Amino acid sequence: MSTAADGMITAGELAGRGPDPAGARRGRRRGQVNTGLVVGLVMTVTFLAIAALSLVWTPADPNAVAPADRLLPFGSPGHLIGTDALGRDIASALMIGARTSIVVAAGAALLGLVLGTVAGLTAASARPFVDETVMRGADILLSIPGVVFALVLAATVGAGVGSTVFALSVFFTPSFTRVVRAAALRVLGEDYVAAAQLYGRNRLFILARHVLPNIFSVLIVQFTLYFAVGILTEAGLSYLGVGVNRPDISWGMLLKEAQETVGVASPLAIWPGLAIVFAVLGLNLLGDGLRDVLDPRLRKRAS
Amino acid sequence: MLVFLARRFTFFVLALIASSILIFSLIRIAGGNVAAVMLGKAARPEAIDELMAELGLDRPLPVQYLDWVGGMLRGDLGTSFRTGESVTALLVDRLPVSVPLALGGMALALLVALPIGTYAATKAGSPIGTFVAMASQVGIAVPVFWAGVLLSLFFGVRLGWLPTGGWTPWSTSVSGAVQSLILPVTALGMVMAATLSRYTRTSVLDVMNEDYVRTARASGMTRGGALMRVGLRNASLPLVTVVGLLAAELIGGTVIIEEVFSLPGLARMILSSVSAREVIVVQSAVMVIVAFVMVVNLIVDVLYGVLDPRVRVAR
Amino acid sequence: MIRQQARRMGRGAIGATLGGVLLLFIAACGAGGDPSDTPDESTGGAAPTSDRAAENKLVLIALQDPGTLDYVSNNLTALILWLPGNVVEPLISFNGDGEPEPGVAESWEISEDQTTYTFTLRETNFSNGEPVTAADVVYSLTTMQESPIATYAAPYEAVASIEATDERTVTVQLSRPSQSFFRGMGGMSALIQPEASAGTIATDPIGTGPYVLDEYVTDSRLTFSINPEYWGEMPSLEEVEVRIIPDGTAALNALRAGEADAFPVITIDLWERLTTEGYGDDFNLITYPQGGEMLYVTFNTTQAPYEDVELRRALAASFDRQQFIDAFNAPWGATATCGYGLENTPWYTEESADTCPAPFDVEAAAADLQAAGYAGEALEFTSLSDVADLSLPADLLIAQLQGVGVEVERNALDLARYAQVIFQGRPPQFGVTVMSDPAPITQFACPDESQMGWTTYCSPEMTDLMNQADAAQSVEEYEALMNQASDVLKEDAVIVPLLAKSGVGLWHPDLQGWQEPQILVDIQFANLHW
Repeated sequence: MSTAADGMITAGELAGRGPDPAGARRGRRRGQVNTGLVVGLVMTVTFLAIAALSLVWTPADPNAVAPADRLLPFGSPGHLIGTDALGRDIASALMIGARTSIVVAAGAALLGLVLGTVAGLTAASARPFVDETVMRGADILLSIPGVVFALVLAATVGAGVGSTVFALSVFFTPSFTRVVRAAALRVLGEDYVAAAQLYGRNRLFILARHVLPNIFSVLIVQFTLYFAVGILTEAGLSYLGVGVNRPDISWGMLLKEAQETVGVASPLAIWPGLAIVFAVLGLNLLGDGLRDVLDPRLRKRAS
Repeated sequence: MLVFLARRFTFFVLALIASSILIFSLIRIAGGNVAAVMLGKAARPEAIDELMAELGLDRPLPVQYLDWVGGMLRGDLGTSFRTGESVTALLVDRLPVSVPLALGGMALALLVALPIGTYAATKAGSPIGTFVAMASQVGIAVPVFWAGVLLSLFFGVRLGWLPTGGWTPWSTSVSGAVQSLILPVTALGMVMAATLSRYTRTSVLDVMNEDYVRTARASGMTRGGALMRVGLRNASLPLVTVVGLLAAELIGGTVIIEEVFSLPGLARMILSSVSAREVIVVQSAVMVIVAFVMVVNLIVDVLYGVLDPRVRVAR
Repeated sequence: MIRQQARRMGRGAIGATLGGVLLLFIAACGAGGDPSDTPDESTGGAAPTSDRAAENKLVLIALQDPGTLDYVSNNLTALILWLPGNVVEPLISFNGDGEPEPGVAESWEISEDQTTYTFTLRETNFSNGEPVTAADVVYSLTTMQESPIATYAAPYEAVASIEATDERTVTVQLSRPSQSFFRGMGGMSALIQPEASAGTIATDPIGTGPYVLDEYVTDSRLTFSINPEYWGEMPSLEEVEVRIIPDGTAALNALRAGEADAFPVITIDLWERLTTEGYGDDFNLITYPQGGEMLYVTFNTTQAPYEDVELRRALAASFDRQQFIDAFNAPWGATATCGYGLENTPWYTEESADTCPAPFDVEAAAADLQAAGYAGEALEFTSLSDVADLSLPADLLIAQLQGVGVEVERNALDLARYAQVIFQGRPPQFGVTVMSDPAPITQFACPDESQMGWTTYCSPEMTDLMNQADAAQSVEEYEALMNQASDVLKEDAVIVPLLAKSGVGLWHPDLQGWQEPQILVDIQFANLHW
């Protein structure tokens, strides 16, 4: 998916070379930063809260079929958002879908983040040969289109939540690696790191004590943005029929189901789509807002 | 410079080898086989083994790998198990669909995103600037297939201006081919433009705060003038990278768009070949894409070396 | 002050943008329309005259690309729809009443003891201009006899020899009388092709049919034109294009936009939209049992606990067939059944949900499971994930099984893995699955345990009855014995029929001469005309 390239990592970070335009919002006024952040935060918290609620309560079992109650409209008693072609409760399905989004997209982003951080820090601090090897490995993975990779992988391990998480994380890891390496190199170039080195601190200590805390904000921002990319990519894979399957439920799968059985113009096909737009927009606004607030260099300049 | 080029090229070759191994292993460890698909539910048990042997799929994997790579080095991408057609011929059929789609999508994205992103950056903070920034945020949040289906419904079914899907070959009618590409290119281009305009805006915003732009403005140039004269050239550097990276994603995006608009392109060939376990077709077609992306990256890197001397020294 | 202003503007912009997206969506939605809300052009009458009517052309929509046209070693529906009857023809054919009619064979003689069949060939040419020879027919029959597709090879079980007695005569010698042999000569098993063109069958099959395949572009289209060499009456349509559109929504859109004239085979996931979106008003909605398929549940008797007939019967009583009909909201498309025959099967007897040995009864099923110690038993339900025709029924079946108190774990596989695990596994590796196909119940026969396949039921009683039926001297005897065989299958609840799904298609109202499929599910172009 083309959108997968996004994540609002700036070009320099992604490439790990050239002029570094990170901390992009230097030209922005503070007021706006907060608007985006607040709206994004509210949307994301709503999304997370709904997912959390689904752990303990949903209005109905989203897999329970009841053809007698099929295709009930919005606002029907007992089925707030109505029911689908087999009489399954849509509100419940959307709630579970939020949870699946978190498992799939956030899970993949987290996995990619952890692997990418390890690889990126290794690359940044190790000998040039290791650095070159890691980064070129990332380049190779980036050359294989993510969706094609996920397709083949779905065929390999079978479609489902697990393989989708795995496919997405494989495809996120190289990007994270690049970002982390670029950010870590920046920190490693700072005077206090040189001082710590002079002090005789070993590499692990420096990475843990100085580098990680200083790139933490970058990690949070990247995580948020890739979370959003994950939701979109999952929807695309489910559309191609290689994503999530029942009894698991995802928004992408619901959208595909509804489009087939009742048509794209039906309200049934709109809800999961709106849920996707809502969650992705919220996460992207939050990620951008966080970047503006958290980026240490922004703070430095502001002071 | 020569050393830089030599190193870059060595990596290119190593990367090709590494990715060929990766692609081969990935599709080969997938369960299911082409014989199972071909013979279907009414297959006689011994027929499967016979067919596997006939197709050479019962040989050890390293032998099959070397056979495949050896063929590619001789320019032979292999043949389809089901029809016996050569993969090269299949690619020749598919590329006239996928290449214009991908290039058109990319061109449209650049055409929309560069001016809009630059404009949004110069107007950052104003209502229009914010609107543009928000529009791209929302654009990014819309799943690409949703955009495709909506475009097809509106312009194809409702207005009847353009075909809802399907493909008219270039040889049959050039205008027909162009018509069947307009909606897919639009869907792909718009969604990519949303992403790209954010990159552009960010890059331009950064450049605008650089010292040389400030200097230019201090020396009396207008904001826009300074941006045009000094800024854009500098902002274009990270953008070249983004375009290079987006190439991979663009091809990923065409998978879905080709499916929505029933275009017989490369991506759909891979999709159906994966489900039929036409392993040779999948391997060779993915390899062609990967090689393409790598060539683009190679060119980008070399361009970098030319545009920015620091890169040459650093490597 | 400035800061606050900017914040306000930011919020306004967010609102405006979201509003814009919603507007676009509403505009586009009005397009696909729910015609019940917009009774303007769509309910006013039939579709406008097709652009192609004047040119005597036809464009059809297919959802699946066959990938190969080699009909000898592939039994893909996507291929059977278009090739037999149009491009390649069987030796003879069976009409709607089950009576044999001439095909490539002009006439035939059957010996008194029903073991010698002599076919006299028509003096005609293949579409490439080469004459049809006895050698070609012997080649074609022998190739089918050796087909890896078991159902294609099955009619040849009793065949001892196939010989060309002269240029235009082919003699087939049987070791015993066989009903399935003669029936097979009117189907896929007897499609006649020239030996010389065997090498290109996968991309360019040649035959004697009314049409010739001009072009096959994978994932795009198949185009046909009239075969100038055709022996019968020349067809009316000069050109037929089958356009491959894998996405159901896109396919319906193409029909609505007038880019195609018919959508002959529509999968159940789209059925409801045919009526709710008014396609049935604009086009002729044709349902035809002959092109239909049986939907059935299969239990794997080689695996515990499914070898227990009590368990199978109890589970069979949990299947609520009416719920399927309700869920598809297309009562015209499918009928609940407990029989194995489609209406075109010679031994077909009318069946319904009430004729089941284990009719739907939740309480009884739950009680039986409890009594037999299977309450809370964990079942593995293997389903095909990429075929909408089967994933929708799987959703329902799983819920129904859970409703009688068993645990169900769903194992969703794509076609290639499913084929390997289920079709080709010996013994097959699955618990319960749902399948749909048009093949006759002889496919369930199991000559010996080692051949045990995914749908075979190794009951000596049933297999014996089927063999006796095949060797029957008269059609009446054959039908009676087949009915007995299917009763055994039914009682033992190994393969439990759920629905007889009709073929469902949309055709332009101006298009005349539609004819029911004769060879499995084939769509014949020859009688169609504007």
